[in-house]
Amino acid sequence: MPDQDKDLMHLFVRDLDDIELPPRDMWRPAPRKESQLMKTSRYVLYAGAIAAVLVVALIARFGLRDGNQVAASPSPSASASTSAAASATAGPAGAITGRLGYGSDFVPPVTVYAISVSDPSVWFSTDTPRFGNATPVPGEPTWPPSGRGTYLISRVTPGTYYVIAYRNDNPDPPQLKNLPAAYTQWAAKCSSSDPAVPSPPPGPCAYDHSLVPVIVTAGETVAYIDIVDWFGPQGGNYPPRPR
Amino acid sequence: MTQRWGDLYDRAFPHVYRALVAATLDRERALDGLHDAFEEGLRNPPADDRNLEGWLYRVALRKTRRSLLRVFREGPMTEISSEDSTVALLQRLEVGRLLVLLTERQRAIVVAHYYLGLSQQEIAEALGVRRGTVSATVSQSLARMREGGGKRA
Repeated sequence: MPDQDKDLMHLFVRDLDDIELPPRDMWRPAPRKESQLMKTSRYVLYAGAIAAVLVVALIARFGLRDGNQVAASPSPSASASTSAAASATAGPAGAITGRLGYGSDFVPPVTVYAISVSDPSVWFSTDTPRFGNATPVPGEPTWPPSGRGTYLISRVTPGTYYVIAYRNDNPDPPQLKNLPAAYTQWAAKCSSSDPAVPSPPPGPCAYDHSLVPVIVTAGETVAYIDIVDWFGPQGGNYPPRPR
Repeated sequence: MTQRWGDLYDRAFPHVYRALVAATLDRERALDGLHDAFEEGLRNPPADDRNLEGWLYRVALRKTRRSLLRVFREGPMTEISSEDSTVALLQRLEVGRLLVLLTERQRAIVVAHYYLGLSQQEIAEALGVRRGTVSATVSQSLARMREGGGKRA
């Protein structure tokens, strides 16, 4: 390297290192603010929940007065779905992202679900279109050819989830319809896009298709949750597609 | 995973932030660009983190100024508005006084080379221009800084 270049490098480093840095807590972006539409939806949901509670209270009051106590008790399922809806919108959320892979030169359109480990009625999802360079199915959307098969489920309530995708297309043979893929031990250890995880790893890698719980914390995005394992059991051990 | 990306980002932040301030002359744009690059890294992390600073610089520059490439296409006469307080800050530094003489295109390349230590080939790949363009731009920039009174340049 010429001496002049070295001198200039020293000069640049000496001077530019004097530029003051912003406070440490500003280095990373703040969690995204809610859009007006989402804010309005949240208020509508709260108002609906309050109205439902009032209606139940009124029914209970008048039911009890009439000696009909059955009408006063809300059903367990109604109570569970109310709490799930409320917890899904309260407090700062997290997100899950990763790569989509399929044993071909395309990835079929899927819905990726994060399904709560403790309560499968609580789930979040995102739809992804067909990805890849293969001839697209007429009428189906296609990722840009240069794009990558990735997904992002945002606004996930903190908790522990299984991440499973189900095919949304009409494949040939039709037995592949609704085929699940999941984030499994094999996906995490043998085919990860995480640069910290060698892929493929040295030596043999076990075909372990058991689901890996994913922990979502407030304000954090959990990355490298790759949906590349299509060889797990269909139905059976995996939670069914939420409806 | 997320933790690792955050650690890598934090380690690279000071160097890349200062480079972006010097290239854009705008601290707010530099910070916004880095925030966008952080999120981009969460979605599509770089395949190789050996040159993470170069990756962050490129992504942040692109995010900071989506039209940076337009600037490259339109030529060196296109100048971008800068933040006065940052210019004042840079004017207190010997290098800063030289950098404000350059266009944003020239600054982006000169800072990448002399501050981040990227090779001309790496800069060409990062900014999507030919290596010859990088080489010519460095030469023009040095000449301009020399004319501007920088004895050391």
